[in-house]
Amino acid sequence: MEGFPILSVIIGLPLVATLFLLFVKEESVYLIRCVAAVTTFSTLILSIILMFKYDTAAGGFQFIEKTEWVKSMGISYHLGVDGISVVMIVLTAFVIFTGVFVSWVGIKTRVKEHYILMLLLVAGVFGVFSALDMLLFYFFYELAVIPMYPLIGIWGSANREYATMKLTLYLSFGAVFALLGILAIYFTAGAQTGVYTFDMLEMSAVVFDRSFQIKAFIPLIFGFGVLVPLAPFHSWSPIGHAAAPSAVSMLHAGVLMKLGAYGIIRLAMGLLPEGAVYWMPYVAGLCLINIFYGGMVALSRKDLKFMVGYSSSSHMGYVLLGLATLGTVGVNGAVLLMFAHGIMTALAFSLIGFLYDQTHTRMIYDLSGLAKKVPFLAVCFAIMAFASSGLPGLANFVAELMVFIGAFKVYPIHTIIAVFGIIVTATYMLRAVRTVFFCEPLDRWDNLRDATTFIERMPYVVLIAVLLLVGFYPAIVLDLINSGVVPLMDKINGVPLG
Amino acid sequence: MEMNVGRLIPEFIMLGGAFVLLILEFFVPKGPRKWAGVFGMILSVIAAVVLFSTEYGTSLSGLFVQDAISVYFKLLFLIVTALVFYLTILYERHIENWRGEFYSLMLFCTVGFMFLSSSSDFIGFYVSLELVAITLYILAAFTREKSQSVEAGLKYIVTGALSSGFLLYGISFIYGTTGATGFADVAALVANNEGNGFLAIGLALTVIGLTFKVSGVPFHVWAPDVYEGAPTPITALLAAGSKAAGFIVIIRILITALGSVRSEWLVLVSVISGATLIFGNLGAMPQKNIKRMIAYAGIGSAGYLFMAVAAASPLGVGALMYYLSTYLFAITGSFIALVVFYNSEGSYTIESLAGLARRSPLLAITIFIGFLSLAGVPPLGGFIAKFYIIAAAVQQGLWALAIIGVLMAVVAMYYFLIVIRSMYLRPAVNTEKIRVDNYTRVILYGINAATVILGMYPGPLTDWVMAIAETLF
Repeated sequence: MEGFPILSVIIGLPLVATLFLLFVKEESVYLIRCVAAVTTFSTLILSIILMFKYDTAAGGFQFIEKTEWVKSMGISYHLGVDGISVVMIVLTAFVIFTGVFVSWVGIKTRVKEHYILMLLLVAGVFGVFSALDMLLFYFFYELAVIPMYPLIGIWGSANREYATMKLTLYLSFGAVFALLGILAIYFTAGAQTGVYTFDMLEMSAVVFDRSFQIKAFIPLIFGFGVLVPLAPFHSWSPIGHAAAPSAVSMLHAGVLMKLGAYGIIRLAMGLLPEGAVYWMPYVAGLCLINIFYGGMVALSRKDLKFMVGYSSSSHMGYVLLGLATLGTVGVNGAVLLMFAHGIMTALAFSLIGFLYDQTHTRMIYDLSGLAKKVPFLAVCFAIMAFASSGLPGLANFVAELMVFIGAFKVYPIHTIIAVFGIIVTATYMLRAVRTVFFCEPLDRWDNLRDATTFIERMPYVVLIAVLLLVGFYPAIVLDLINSGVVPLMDKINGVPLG
Repeated sequence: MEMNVGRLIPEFIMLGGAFVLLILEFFVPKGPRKWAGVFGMILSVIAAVVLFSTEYGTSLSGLFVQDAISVYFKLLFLIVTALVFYLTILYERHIENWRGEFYSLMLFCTVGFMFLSSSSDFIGFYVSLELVAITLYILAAFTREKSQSVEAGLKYIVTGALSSGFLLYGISFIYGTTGATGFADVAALVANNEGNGFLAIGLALTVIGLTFKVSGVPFHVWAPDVYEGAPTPITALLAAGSKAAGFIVIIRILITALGSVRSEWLVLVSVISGATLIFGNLGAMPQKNIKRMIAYAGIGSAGYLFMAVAAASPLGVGALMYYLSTYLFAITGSFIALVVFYNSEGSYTIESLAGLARRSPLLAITIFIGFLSLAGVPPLGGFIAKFYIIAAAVQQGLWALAIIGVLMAVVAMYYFLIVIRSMYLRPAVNTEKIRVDNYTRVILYGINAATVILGMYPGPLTDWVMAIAETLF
């Protein structure tokens, strides 16, 4: 495997598939779906290889590829992964792979365009997680955002045009602010060292003075915070989830929301440790709004997708709380939660999508007593709800526990409040399970069909398997995450307090 | 004082072509003039080739200068001209009479652009500017059967005359203070003198006069009406050519001649930049007609370019040059696609574009790529350009402008997405396919490829423009 540019291949495969699909006839739907499936399966295999090949003992950035891109500006095509990025790449690979199969069932019109856009999007996401150049990072980020617009706008459900416009604008709005921060860092580092470069590795060696760090942290945390989405800039997210077709909701909640948190880890915390120490306590306060407000709104929603959408922004509150601890346990927990939540929420949206395609409603009280008709779905949905409410045995439990343990040391009061968020989550999730699957069956759902074929069942089985595997044996990803978190924490802990 | 006319060969080629077309009009019966368009395109290519073999230096006793930056801009103008000639061939059927003059006037206009980019003296500059202005007045009003076109011409000439007045008055102040008209002489005299009030007045009037050419605030109001009413090829020429011509002059005057008194014009240019950005982008939001929307977006673009001027650094000027390249391809590509659409549907409203993605994927993707490049979305050229401009502003500490710039980029995304929404998300009323002939196909593929390459592989052009920009400081 030495010298094999595995990261470029992971990013490139979807792009090559996109080019290939351009030349495939629109009518050959089966071929198009197969191409997408094979491509995403290959990226999944490659990312799992990446996960096992990554040397956690050595740590740091591995599989580095570097070529000059714009020499006069110090921009390079620089890829490399540490433990955190590897886990995120694996997450992305799982979500897109299962997403392709969900779309296989759910998308019947303009299939070719759908898969082309999905593959473009995922290439962008893979790129973000492996970019080690700040401009390349931004570049891939936008590549991931733009396809969202037509993906939601064409195949989405009610209110899609409004939702997709709002989502695209918010995501770009956050990104341009982050870009301002990136530029400030670029010029300040350049003035200090005399070398103007966007290279994150070279940049992380530069020590900025405290007042600059505190100032430059603002655009970064604000920009990436919008993407997370941190309250009060979260409103694009639930509405975007709700309008998107299932596979796109999966990608959006499972992966795109993680880009913001990843940006905070990689750029804001990685490059500006003193800024992080200064600002993160305030962020921790905002997290509580996310957790509680998101949870309460989720509780009040009648629409399943809106419920899961708000639940996502509530869960991202835990992620940010974990990051805000700036301690090894808390940050490990946060990254693990990004992974677990990504898988869990992908499962949620795929299940809701399957139901919606048949029932054409997502209102909790319109769906009642479905368990008799669709036992398989009911079981999957219940597992998802358990994972979401943080029951032991599933990945989310470990992650949330770590976040709380980490946070309790730093923000005891925040933590005590946040723990009650779990109860809110459990309330709306279990209520949904009870009403949708276990109340009195309604006559009009007599013809409901369960997921029976391989293609229909496969996504659920894969995602649940991952949740269980990580739930019972978290070390499989935690070792990787830890190898990435430790150097980051060393840097932050080296900062004098005050 | 030697003449050194050898340096003017590219201009003479275009000028000769313009006269040849005029003379031929006597002998050729009325009817299609597609060959004239092809002739103009070939001339542009020849002039571009010759351009590279001309040597640098001054001619016409210092009225004309050939240097790296003028070669770059002339190349831009020649590409614009070639593409606009192609656009005219497509559009020809909508110009009932006097088609020969149309082509010939466009060549005169290009000559004016080229002289502008080589002007090194206030007198030469003003004469070239009027050559451009007068040809564009006629061209804008060319389809005189349409009241809109006449209105466009009239508005253009009235505001143009007013701005010329400002400009001349400003130049006279600068001349009065320094006693020189050559840019280099002015630069030397200004650098050694204490600034005085008259210079500041001259400067302000000149800058305000120049905003007319590039549709910047306060001389921006003509743009939407003229863009909408003028024949579409002329709209493209105004958008891509006139803007570039205005900015090469602004660079020469503000940076070459008056660079040493940047503190005197920095605030003015920054205010113009911010106001232009906000006005253009907010104005574009409610537009229903695509040509009007492009006009407002063009005003917004002028705001970005003024931001690059305000930065007054090698990075700023390089960014400006990069921006104009990407702008050129985005504008000409979109307009070619729009004219093909107009020929088939007879409408420029955003609504009428509904379902274009199904009716003609090529036209839709061209407008998609062009508009997203204008909005500044990677991996397209416009992103790199906007990025450099914002970077230049940040580098010089112009934070307020940088923040307005990025906010307006999001606004730009909004109105361009409205067009994209119409093309991709809305169902078509009339589902009949729109045919695109093979030549147009090839040209559109080329333009789209150029936009993508400028975004994906910006290295070579960046190195080139940055090297040129370095020579100015």
